[in-house]
Amino acid sequence: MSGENPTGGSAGTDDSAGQTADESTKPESPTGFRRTWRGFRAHGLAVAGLVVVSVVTLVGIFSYVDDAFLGNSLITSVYYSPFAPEFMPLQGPSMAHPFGTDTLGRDVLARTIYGAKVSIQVALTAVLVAASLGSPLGVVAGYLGGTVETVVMRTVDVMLGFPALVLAIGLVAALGFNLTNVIIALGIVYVPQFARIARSTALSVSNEEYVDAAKALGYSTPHIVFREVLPNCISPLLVQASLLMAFAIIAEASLSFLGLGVQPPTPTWGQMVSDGSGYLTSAPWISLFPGAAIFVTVLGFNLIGDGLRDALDPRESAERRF
Amino acid sequence: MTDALLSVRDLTTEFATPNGSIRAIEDVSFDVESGEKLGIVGESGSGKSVTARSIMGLLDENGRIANGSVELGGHDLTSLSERELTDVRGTEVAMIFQDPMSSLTPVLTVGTQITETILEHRDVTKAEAREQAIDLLEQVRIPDPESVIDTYPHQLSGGQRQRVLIAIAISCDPDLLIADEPTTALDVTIEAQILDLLEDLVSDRETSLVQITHDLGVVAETCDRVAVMYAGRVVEQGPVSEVFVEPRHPYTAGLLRSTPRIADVEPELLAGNVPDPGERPVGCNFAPRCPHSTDDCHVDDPPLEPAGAASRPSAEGRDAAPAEGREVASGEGREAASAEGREVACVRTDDIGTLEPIPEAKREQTATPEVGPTIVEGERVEKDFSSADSLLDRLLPGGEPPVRAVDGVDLSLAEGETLGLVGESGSGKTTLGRLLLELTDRTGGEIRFDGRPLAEVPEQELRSRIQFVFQDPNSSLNPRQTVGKILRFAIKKHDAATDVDDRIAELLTEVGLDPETRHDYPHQLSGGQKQRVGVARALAVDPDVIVADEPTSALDVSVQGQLLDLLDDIKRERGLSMVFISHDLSVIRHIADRVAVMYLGRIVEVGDTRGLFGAPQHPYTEALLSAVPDPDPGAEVDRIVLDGEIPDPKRPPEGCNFVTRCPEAMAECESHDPELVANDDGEVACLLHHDVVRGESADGATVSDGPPESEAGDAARADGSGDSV
Repeated sequence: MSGENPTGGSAGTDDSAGQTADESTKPESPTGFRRTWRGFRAHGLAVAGLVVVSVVTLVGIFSYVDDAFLGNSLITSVYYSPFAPEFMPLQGPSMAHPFGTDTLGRDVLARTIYGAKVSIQVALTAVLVAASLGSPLGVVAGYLGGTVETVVMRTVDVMLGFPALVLAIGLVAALGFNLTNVIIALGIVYVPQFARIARSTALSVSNEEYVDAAKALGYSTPHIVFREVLPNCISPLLVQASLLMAFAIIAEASLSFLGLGVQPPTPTWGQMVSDGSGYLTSAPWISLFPGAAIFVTVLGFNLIGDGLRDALDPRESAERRF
Repeated sequence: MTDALLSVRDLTTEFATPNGSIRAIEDVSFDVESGEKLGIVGESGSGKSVTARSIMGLLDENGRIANGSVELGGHDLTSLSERELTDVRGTEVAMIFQDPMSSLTPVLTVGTQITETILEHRDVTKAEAREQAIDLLEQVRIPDPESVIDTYPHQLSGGQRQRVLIAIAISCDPDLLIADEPTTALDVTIEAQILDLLEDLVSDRETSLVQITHDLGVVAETCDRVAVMYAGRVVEQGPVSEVFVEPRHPYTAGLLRSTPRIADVEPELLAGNVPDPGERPVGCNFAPRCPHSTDDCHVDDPPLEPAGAASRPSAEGRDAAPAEGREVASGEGREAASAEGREVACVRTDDIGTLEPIPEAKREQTATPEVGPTIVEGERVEKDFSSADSLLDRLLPGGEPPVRAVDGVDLSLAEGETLGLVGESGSGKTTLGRLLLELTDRTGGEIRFDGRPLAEVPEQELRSRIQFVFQDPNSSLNPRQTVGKILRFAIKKHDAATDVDDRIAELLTEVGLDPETRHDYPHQLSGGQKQRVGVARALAVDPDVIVADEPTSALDVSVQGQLLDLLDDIKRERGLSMVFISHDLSVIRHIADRVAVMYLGRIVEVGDTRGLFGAPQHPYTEALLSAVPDPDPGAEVDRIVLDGEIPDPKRPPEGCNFVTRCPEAMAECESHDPELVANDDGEVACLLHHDVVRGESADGATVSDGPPESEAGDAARADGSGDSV
């Protein structure tokens, strides 16, 4: 189940935060989680998506470790360096270079492997930022209503008025071109998505009797919002998170394609597609393989999102079909 | 029995689940003759709805009929293709569903939905179909059918929607009607109307009726024969007049004895729960709960056999069971019984003999608990719900008037007392309960707690002294918290010093749960267990007052009884005061010391339970009481069926709120709004009774011209009840 980490990252932490206060109880995870997992597993395509995303994540972790701590020694010991222009440029795919070489004579496979790092990093952290800002905002707005709701939701509406990518470009341009700023920009751009979903879910959860019970017991508003309401809004947020990760990968690739993202020489898939765009007729492999990597990863996240949506909907659960 | 219209034989239905296939019903057999009304009664999980759906071929996709046959008018429905079934449905057999809200399509008019059925099965033009539809609406007693036919379902009340469903069901003259809990979602006065209607339709058209219900009273009043189901099997069947008077299966008897009744008897507890399908025991499914079970019961599923056809009771058996001396158990009686199609599935029938359906224990003379000082008091409490929520709505003039949910209610609760708050949906009883806890802000009036206005009671004190028990066990517990955690929060909130773990164990034990339940999540518990956790949570802060809002309405009869007893015990032991809100008069009868009857936001009558149930004063109370179906088939049926439905609370009628439905309404009632006035037997808000106290009451003076003598009033009452039976 470790493979689920990339998708469930944000929500997984929320869940376990909920559990910690319950230290005395059994360590066993709730059977609700198991039921979800069973429903998810029954969804064949979702499992395929999970496998794809897991592989990409592992590749990303590998390249991160290799790059940050080992000075690329791992990859050069078994393959070629993604940075050194040591081959004939524009070679087509061959046994020696399965993905070919780029304009500077660098191995495209090695660069695609290293590109996974940026994509996964952006997808996970940007969505985590967006979720941890947007969800509480939305839940508070939905539970409290009134002025708070008006202020939060109208702001969100204004943000939604801008096309996401245009807003991201503006933010990156203002903040400067580097990985951190790309993450911050995308994190902010996706806040409204979480806020809207969190609000509508919180509205319906607020009508549940256990929320009234909490009021009758005199619990504080923060307690009610974060202990009673928020944990019950997780499911749709989780689905949204996995879908937005796919969008974040595309957005990062687009920013890189436009030269607004991570700067060379760090390879990213979007930048590689951009590099090869001038040679599409003579050397299509330069753009094709990183493009395929984007496609497969985005598809993987989307499949996970669909599977989660079905598995998390209690009404879809066959066990209750009596 | 050869000419049976519907003949179900050994019907077994399985459902595929992730944990393998589960048998929801097993070997169900019964016959329905033409013109006969059969009741199928059982608790949830007994398989009664699955039986109906199996007959209709309406199982969910994971269900299938594994065995058995369903013969209707000579052909076997289980062997028909979906296409052939479509022809059968509607023309030969039709079904009335439980939930009138979701059984009609919201986007089509009522007329379209009725004519659709007619056009599907009959060769008529659209205009003719419309004519027929109007005619049908008239037959189901919908006033003004010409205009109702063009309305959409949401414009109709629940009762009217149920009538439309009935109209659709009878539109093609089916030989058999299957009604699945047709009145469960309805209020008791509307239920009475619908049951009346069904009975008349069925007898006029000589249709057969299969009525599926959990309510023994409904069966007793409307059916000829009854099949009692338990855990997927029919355990007993026969004529209602015999089965409900001399039940032979211990479960039938247990069910009858545990049903709270209006009559003056104490319901008995039926311990335990219906086992889930898939967890049914070896042998007789009821054996683990049966007071008569022996080792023999745990061997095989007992077959359903004619009650008299089993081997003659041995002499020992006769001696062992004292009840055996009755006539029915004698040879003659048994033959008669079997001739009537009396069947029972119990290996020990002959040893046990007939059982008593009514518990012996008379209700304890309500030793009026030493009524302490008043702890909660409401004065002219009001609550309006305004639909004008947005800023724009508030700025624009006009618009909808507010809903007057609670309209100037006075009430008081003494220490150690249980006040029953009874009323139909829309009467404002739940809102009133919530107002007492300030779960909802009131719009007017004053509520005093312990002599102080609520505004002066510190929040912390209020929250630790008055608590709420909620209605819906599925919604009242946070699904993401374990039972232990739910209680932990509540305990810590009000007493940080105690040893929380000990307290949790104590509380769970007090509400009759295993302390180990603390590790479970709510979805792992049964409905009854969840409600117990809800009670434990309320008790966690050691309150003085508990407001219980329909805590048993979502539970089965036997579980309901257990919870009521628990609440009563806890109340007694802790010396709590309780406000018990319910629509169910028999439940109120069982638990309350004093009763307040609400109608359209007002309290119309208050009195001590015995007095109010014995001699109701307000015509509404009287009608409510008479509308409750009695599980005793011998009971004198003297039903007052109220016309119409609760008026729109946005536009209550002029004068007395009840005037539009009151069988005894007088001219004055349309202009004078009666106050709640005390007399010897309690307090009542009705001009009929105000006359009596007119001399003493200042309010009485408002009745200006010639109030009728009390004799005249009595005569009117006699007429009223005579007419409406």
